[in-house]
Amino acid sequence: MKQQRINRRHSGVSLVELLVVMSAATVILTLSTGLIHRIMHAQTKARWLADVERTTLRLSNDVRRDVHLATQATTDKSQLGNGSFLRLQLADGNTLEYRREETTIQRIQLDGSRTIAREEFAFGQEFELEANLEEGRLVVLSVTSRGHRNRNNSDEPSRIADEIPVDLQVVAALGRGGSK
Amino acid sequence: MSQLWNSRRGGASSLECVMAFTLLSSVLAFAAPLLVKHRRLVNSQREYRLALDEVSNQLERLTSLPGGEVEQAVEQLQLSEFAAARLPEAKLQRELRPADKGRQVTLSLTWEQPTAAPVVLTGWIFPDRAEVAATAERGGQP
Repeated sequence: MKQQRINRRHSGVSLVELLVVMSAATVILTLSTGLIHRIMHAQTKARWLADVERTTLRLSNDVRRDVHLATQATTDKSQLGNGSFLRLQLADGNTLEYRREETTIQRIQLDGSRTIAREEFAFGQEFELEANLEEGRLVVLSVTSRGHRNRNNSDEPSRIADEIPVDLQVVAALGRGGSK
Repeated sequence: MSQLWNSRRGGASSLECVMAFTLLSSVLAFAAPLLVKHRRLVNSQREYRLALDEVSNQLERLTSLPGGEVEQAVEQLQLSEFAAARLPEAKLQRELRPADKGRQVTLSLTWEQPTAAPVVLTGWIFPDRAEVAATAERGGQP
């Protein structure tokens, strides 16, 4: 009889025990949810970074190599059309044009007016672009994310694109790929 | 009777709760530093590529100069505004020394990074024809 009474006393949980367990569970779940969210964000960011860096490196290598092979460069927008910002005249008579789209840069190889090759560099975000010819022999190309620096101070929610901006500056000298 | 009740219980003991709490806390404590390290790795990778671009650009400027202007240009060499704005505490060091043919210029860029080695690139500046002719007239080595 006494044993049964003791067992009955332990057949449930008190309100305090329940509250303690629920509080602990809530804390753990909140932390876990936050962690999972951050891990997913980190994964997306890593993928974005890899894309941007790969594209940037490819563009940098292509521009440097093309300028080295070129004999003449034009960066004056009044002489260029179709969104072009850089035209390179190659020694074999072909022309290379770098054109800007909304979030991409296109490298187009032309034989006269006929397109013979096209390559695209997609950044997935809007960017600012500047191409100059310094001292008649150095081509300077800068690609930076649009408004990235200003957006850092604003209250707008941050996007992955804002956290991993495009930053590239290439300086290349004309005509170094040949005889020199 | 007591054994029968224990086998049918539907709740968790305090010990089980404490164990679960400890395990989850361990996972959280292990994962949080990984996220911080991931952020550092992302920044480090970007900064390394920017540093490499900057040194390549500076070397491109130097090696495309006429031979007579190189020495002065090396002395006046400065980090570009573009790189200075993106690489914290960046410092560019340069060294110009004679090589077998022409001269050898070595650029080294360091910035605020606790582990990675500095970016070092070396270029060779060969004497142009006028310089070679002038040196030959003087009877010296190019």
